[in-house]
Amino acid sequence: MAPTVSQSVLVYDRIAQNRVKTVLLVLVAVGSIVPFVALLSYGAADFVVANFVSHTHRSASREPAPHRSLMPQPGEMTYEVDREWQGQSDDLNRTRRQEQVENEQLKLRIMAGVALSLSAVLGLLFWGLASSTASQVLALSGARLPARDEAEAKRLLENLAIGAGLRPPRLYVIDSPTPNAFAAGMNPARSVVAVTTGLIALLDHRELEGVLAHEISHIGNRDTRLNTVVASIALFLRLPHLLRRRTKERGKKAGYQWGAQRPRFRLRYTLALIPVYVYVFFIAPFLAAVIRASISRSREFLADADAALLTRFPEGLLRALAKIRGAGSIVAGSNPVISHLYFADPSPAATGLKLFTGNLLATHPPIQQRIERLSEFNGGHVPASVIETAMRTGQDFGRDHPPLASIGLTDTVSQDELSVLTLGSPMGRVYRALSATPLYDQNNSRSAVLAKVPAGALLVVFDDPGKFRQVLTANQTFGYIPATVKLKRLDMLPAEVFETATQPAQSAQAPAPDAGAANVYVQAHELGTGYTAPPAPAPRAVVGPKPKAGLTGAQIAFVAGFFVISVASILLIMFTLNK
Amino acid sequence: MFSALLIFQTSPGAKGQAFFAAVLPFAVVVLLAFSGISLYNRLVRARMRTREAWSGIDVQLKRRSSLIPNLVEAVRGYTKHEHAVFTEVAQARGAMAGAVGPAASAAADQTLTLALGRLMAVAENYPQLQAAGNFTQLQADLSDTEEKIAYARQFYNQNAMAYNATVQSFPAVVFARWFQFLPVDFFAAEAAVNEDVKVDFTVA
Repeated sequence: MAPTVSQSVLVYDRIAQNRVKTVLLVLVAVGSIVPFVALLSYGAADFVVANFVSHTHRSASREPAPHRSLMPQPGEMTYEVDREWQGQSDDLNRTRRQEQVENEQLKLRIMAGVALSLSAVLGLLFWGLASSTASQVLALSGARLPARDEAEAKRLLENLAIGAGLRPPRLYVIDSPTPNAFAAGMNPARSVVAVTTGLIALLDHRELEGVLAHEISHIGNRDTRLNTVVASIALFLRLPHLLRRRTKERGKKAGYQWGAQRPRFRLRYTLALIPVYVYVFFIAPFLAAVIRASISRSREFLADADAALLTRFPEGLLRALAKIRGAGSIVAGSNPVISHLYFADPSPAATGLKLFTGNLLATHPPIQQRIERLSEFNGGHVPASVIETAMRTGQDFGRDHPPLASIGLTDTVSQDELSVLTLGSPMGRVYRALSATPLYDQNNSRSAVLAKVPAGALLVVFDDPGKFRQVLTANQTFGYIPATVKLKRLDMLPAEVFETATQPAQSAQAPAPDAGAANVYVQAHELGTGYTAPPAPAPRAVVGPKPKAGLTGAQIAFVAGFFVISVASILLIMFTLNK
Repeated sequence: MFSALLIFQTSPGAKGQAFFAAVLPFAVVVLLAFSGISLYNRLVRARMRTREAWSGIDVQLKRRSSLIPNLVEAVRGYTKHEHAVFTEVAQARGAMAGAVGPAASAAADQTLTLALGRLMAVAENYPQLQAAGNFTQLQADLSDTEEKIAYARQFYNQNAMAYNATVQSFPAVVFARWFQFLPVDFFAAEAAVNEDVKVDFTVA
């Protein structure tokens, strides 16, 4: 168990190497924003100037206008008029040149404005992603507090936190037979670690310690924050791409072609701005996705190396990885927003792009590669038999404990990052269904019924697109319910209970908040797992501070301010044009 | 520096030149002062971190010391003839309480660990003791605390390594001694501690 010097040095090298790589990748990500913003604002400025400004100028500028109205009348072309016309032409040329200069200046002004508002959008995206707090991630993954027989994991986590010099994170348990774990939280003081019941059942003491050390290292490395920054950059770069796809799909459904009304205008737009178009719609989104996945992968390696350093026993983590590889790590209905937080990739392997050595868009490196690196930390001496035995144990476990049936959440949702954002965003609010309703696959009543929602069930409602509401049930089933179903708003998220528990002042008002919390969780799970069960008695709402679910006042103010500034700048541009 | 001055001589105006000549030494002094201050602050921070990490070890060592009387009492209730072991544990605990600084504490800790190992070996011989809920609880607490000590030690040593590396590397090594930034000792456990304690069944 005692580490040799050469072993530690290898880990240190790896850690230093990893730091450099991350810095480079972040620089590339930030660097790819610059041409994106520049091109997009240039495109927008060009578009505005070409389609509105010169036109406005001609009709608005008083002097040349009457002469121009004379222009298209060829019958009046006498000599005198012609001479006059000559003079006018000089005049016109001058005004045209002046106009061009003005247009260039205006273009620059518009570009600056657009670039500014684009950065504001980036900030807003980051804010949106960052404010989906740890508690909401927990709510999305359906976590609960650990039971008494799971205290061993809690003890291990506390000890590891001492070794890492961090405040011990809260431990949560997810009821899932699939072995996996994740860490969440924007800063170490408010971080949480969640493990599945399958993980606790499958791993022994040493292996569990390795996995928890990996998660603690994620917290210590501030990976959640880095991932949030990178995710918001990625989403920003993909925004035009996603919006275009959405508009197209919507257009197809409604039965008209986008831009069909103004074909000429569209042609001009497409031809003149091909580089902008290519970069904004093809290169940038691809680059963003690849960089994001790449950073996530390199941070996984870093967390593995740090875990080896923390436990001084790489073999524990190595065996855990081998076991998980045997058992499979796909957590049914895990939210793609938080897939990069997991210990092993929770999403089905089908998505992504295979290129040369591996999956370019995977958030996690292949487990085999992680095992190889860890055995390198161990001085290269991990007997193959150890790995094989661990894998066989994992396979047996996987056979005995099949993962919960996938409900296709990840397939449908991961296709569109925007809807993913909606899922993970604070927009979701908790409601209780007052009457039973079927849960549809699509937003129409002809689509497949995924499940039946009993009266009294808790639902997270995201969107209100029309006759149907997007909801997420307590067991992570994503679907649509008719808007006619009566809902009662609850001022809580299941995991807001976590917030209450952190504030002892509130616990005096709420009768036994922890018990209440457990109660809500248990009931949510009962409702979630067995929809045939009779509706449980309505869970007590936890009295606490007003939850931070939904947009906060500050966010609304931010959006409103942004809106006002945009309108004001548009008005300003209009006024300067009309002068 | 002089080449920079020469370049500026080509710029028009003797006024600007004089201004530059006056400002440059000042700027250099300010720059040096700032880097000196930041280095000093970094050293202070590293030293505080080491102390904080040391207090982490101290807490766990004290926690273990406070567990020992209960453990000894539990064992004494079942075993009457093991005075030698009890005395050894008591002495080691006293030495631990008196130890100051990482090196002394590490040595005392090692002695105490060995004595406790012997105590546990004795306890192995009394099945009724093993069955007592109180004793197993104490045993679990003890092993948990020992694990915590191990992690705290690791954290302390990491911080000590970072601090020592800063103190002994170039710009700091010149003046670190003037400001009493001295390298700290590692909390080093010697090889014997890492070895498992042999259970000796021949104890009478």
